[in-house]
Order: sequence, then C-alpha cells, then structure tokens
Amino acid sequence: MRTYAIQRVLLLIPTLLVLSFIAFALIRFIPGDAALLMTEELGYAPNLEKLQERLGLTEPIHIQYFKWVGGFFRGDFGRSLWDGSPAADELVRRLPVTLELAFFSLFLSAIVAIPIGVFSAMRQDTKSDYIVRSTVVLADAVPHFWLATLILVLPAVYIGWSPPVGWHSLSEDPVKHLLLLLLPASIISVSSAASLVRITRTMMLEVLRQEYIRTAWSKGLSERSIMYRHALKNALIPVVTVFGLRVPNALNGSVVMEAVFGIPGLGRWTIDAIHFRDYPQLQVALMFTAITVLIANLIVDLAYGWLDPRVRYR
Amino acid sequence: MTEFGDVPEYLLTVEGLKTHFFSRSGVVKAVDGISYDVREGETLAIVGESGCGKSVGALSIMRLVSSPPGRIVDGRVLFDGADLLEVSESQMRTIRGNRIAMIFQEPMTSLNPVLTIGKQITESLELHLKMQGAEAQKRAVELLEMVGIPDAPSRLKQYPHQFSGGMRQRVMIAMAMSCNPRLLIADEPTTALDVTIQAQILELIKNLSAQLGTAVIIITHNLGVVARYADRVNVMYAGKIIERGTAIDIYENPQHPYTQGLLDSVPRLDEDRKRKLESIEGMPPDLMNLPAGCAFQPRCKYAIERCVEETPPLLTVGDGHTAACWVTAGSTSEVGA
Repeated sequence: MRTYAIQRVLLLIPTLLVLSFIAFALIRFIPGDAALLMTEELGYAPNLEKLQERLGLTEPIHIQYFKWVGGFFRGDFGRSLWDGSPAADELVRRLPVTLELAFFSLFLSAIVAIPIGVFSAMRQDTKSDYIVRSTVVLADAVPHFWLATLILVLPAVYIGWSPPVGWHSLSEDPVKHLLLLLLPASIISVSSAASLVRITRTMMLEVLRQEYIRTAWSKGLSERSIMYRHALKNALIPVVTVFGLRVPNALNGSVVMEAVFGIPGLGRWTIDAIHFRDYPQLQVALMFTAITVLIANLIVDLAYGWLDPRVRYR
Repeated sequence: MTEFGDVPEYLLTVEGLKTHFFSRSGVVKAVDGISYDVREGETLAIVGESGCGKSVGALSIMRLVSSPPGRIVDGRVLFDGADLLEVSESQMRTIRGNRIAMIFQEPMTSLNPVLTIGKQITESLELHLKMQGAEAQKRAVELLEMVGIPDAPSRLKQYPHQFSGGMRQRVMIAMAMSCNPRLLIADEPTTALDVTIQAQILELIKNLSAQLGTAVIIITHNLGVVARYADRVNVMYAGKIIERGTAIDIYENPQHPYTQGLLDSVPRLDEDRKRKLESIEGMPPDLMNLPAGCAFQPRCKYAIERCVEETPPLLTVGDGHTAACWVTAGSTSEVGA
C-alpha cells in the first residue's frame, strides 16, 4: 500500500507537466493578446510592438513557456499583464473561497445522498423507491444555473424574499459566511447528489445479495446495523469513485454560482482573465484548479485502501 | 406432536412447513409440507440432491428466506414452546445467532470482507450476551482456540482474505457457537472444502456439539457425511420428506426407491469392489410443475397405478422408520407420523 501511495504521488509530476503545457497553449489559440486590446480597443498606448515587447509577448513561444514553467515550480506565478500585480496575491484570496464552496457542496451531496441511496435500496421496488428514483432523474437533468435563477427570481417575485447577497468572509462572520454559501452550495450539490444516490442504491442492492449479508442476518443483527455496518462499507468503494469524479463538476458549478451570487472566488477572476487575455492570471487559475482535481483523485485512490483491506494488504 | 405450551419433548418441531417462491411464471413449491423434529443434543441429517428444498427448509426455520419472492405459506416451527413463525421480528432477532445459529456452504463469501474476524465474532457477543470490550475480546480468543485456530489474539485483527477456506469455516463455526446455541444449522458446511479439510470440519462440529450439548441439523448431499455423523436422517425429494429413520435404518434398510437409488449411486467400503455404481434414471422434477401423485413416480422402476393417482404419506415401516412409498412401505404398514 505504501509503495502504491508513493507511486501515485510521483505520477503527479508528469501529469502536472502535461497540464502546464495545456494551460499555457490553450489561451494562446484565441486570437488577439493583451497588448492588442490595450492599444486598439482602449488606446492605452500608441505603439503596439513596443507594448508587446514590454509585456514579454514578443519572445519566442517556447522561451515564454519555459520561463513560466520554471517560475511556476519555483513559486513565482507571474504578474498580471494589466496591473502588474503578482498573480499569486489574488489567487491566495480567491482560491480558498472556490474550494470551500465546491467541497461544501460535495459534502452536502454526500450526507444527503448516501442515506437516501441506502433507504431506496432497502425499500427496493416500493413506492418510496420509485419516488426516489424519479426525483433522481429530475435532479440530474436540471442545469444548476437554471435552478439558481429560479431560486433567486421566484421568491422575489411572489413573496418578496430574496436570498442573502453581499459577502462576509469566514474570519469576519462565520455564521453569515456559511449561510451565504449554503444556497449556492446546495444548488451545486443537486446533480452530484443525484449520481451518488443512484450509485449507492445500485451498489447496496448488489451487496445485499451477497452471502455475508445472509450471515449477518443469521446472527440476529438489526436491519440498521446490517445496512450500515455490513453492507454500506462494501458498497461504498464505487460510491467514493463517483464522488471523486464529481470534484471537477463541483468546481465548475462553483464558477457559475460565484457569478450568480456575487461570491469573490476564482470564477469571475478566471473569466476576466480569458476576456482580457491576461495569460499569467489564467494560467495560474487553471493550474490550481487542476491541482485541486488531481489531489482529490489522489485522496480517492488512497481511500480505497482505507475502505477495502484487500487493497490495503496488497 | 407437542401442543403449544406443553413441556417440549423435542427441542425443535417442524409441522407441515410450506415455503413457496412466487415468480412471474408460477409458484415454485420449494418446501411443500415437511414435518420433523430434533431432540436435544442429537444430530439430524437432511439429505437430498440440489434443489430438493433442504436449504430453503432450514432458512425457513430462521425466517431468512428472501421475501419477495419467497414466502412461508403454512406450517409451524416450535422451538422452546414458541412458534417461530408467529413471534415478532425483534423476538426472532434475539433467537437468531443466539439460540439457533447457522453456518453456510461457502466460507469464502459468508464472511464480510471488510470487517476483521474479531469484529465479526464480537458483534454477536455484544448483541446477545451484552459483553463489552476486553471481555468480548477474551471470549473471541477462546472461541478461536476452541475451533483450533492457532495464534488467536493476532488472528482476530485479520480480515477474511487472510484465511484459507478451512480456516474461514472454522471462524464461521466459532461465530455460530459464540453464544452457546441450543441448535446449530449447518447448511452444506463442507461442500466447498477440500476432502481432507471436510473431515476436520465435520469432526470439529461433532466434537463441539457433544461437548456443548448443541443439537445439529446438518444439511448435505453427501451420504458419507450422514453415515459417520448423523443420529437420524430425513431424506428429501422435491420439497417433501420421503424417508426418515435412524442412520442405521437408512443405510441397512432403505425403503424408498429414491433412497435406495441414492445409496446405489455411491461407493461403499463395506461391499464388493466390483459392484457397478448405479445412477437414478431421469431428471429431478420441475418444482413449478410437479408430476401427479408421488413426485418420484416418473423415475421409479416400481411405480404402480396408485403412485400416479395418490401422493403417498410417510408410512411406518419400522420403529421410528417411515417412508413415503405405496409399493415398498404400503404393503406392510399403515399411515405413520
């Protein structure tokens, strides 16, 4: 297991290199650069070439790449092309907000979905199971931006209530902070919860057919301890996989919800960077989003060992 | 037969038990009216080929038949003066694993792969005997030692995949015996094991039952097991008991043509080596669509007209020996138990 963990961590290095290449190349496919925007559209400076040179955009592309990657691995994330501020400063403020929102939503979806999935499996083919299953299909199909719009607009129109807006940081006012995040996090969690309910239910049904469950019944255990102690731990392995797969989704959802609810996370900042061709800013945003996903996947892989002793002792 | 409330003559009395499976294409009568009893401390073997209802019959005693599609449609299961088919589910849970325990055929899959052996043993102790922490651990060590697993304290921390098949079945036995049950139901306990291990496991069950006074119902299709370990035998065919007697009755003097056929199909040490092994002609019947009269009649070389017209009940052929056959038992006896 330890060798496996070490291998798995080492594998992050080549993955990161490939990612850095993609993050670097992607935005450069969009025509136009920051200098062009500054001179032609905003008239900041009369001379395009000079400005491009000053911003380092005239250097050969591979030199630009190696400079950036070199800096990145030394902890220098570059400066914004527009205001010259270090991209890291803003990142440090914004990344935690996005992570918090994304993982808060994942946490919500897990604590709601797993018990529902277990319940639905226990009551297979009953009315409650059908209700759960059809709700899940619906929940999976609703796009979160649409749901967010409805939740913002409908109560405002009909009962004159609107969800809290504005921003309070965690250190400033923890209660208000969590209340602010609760609604957007719940909206993001809907579709993740739907897939988690489905996989939990399917896996529980699979596990409940196993002979060791019959053994557990023959010992006189209660349904509750059979479900949660004997069955769920076996069923959880694929559930954890799906949970891991939902991490990019939750980050994606956060970006949208930040825009809808005016939350100062990575989302707006990333979109602005694309808009203004602020290469260093976008690259650092993409890299850290990707690193988050990689770390989440790493944790998922290591969690298998915790859940399944057969993996642990290999 | 014992009436409800009487001092029970038997530890367990099964009366007219019927367990049917309801599927879209019809009703499968897996167990179709079986009656038998088990005395304190004795070993009863239930013998029959695959699909004759012997496992379902045993699971019905524990009320563990999966429902749907299975349902116990009729009968009584008297244990300690109470009808187990009538008691509440929570009362039933205090009996399962405590006073009646069960071990299964497949030790590879009967233990939970993600829980330690220690956890799986101590949970019964905690549940039924209200033991806790160190006390339960100590008892678990004793149990593993009792079933012959060396190095018990460290084995408790291990998972099922770290045990061999025979060792897992020993763990199952330790789990089953943990609360000193009055009755142990062993459903084909050795079928999935190597021949050498089979004998060890059976000896272990026999010794423990003698030592602790536990009655055993052993379900098997292995007649060798029956000869060596059983006091009494029920032979089942197509959801019914078709012959019952002591192990000696069944071996020395089988009355039902099916029992005779079964015995002719296995080699025996006490006879001429040149004897050709016989097989029973035909196939076991479809439980959804049983033949008229005696279920064995289409395969039976002695079948007469009455066999098709009327299902034979168990007829007495000797002291405590009954067989459900018009031909071999019908001529000499009257309707028995």
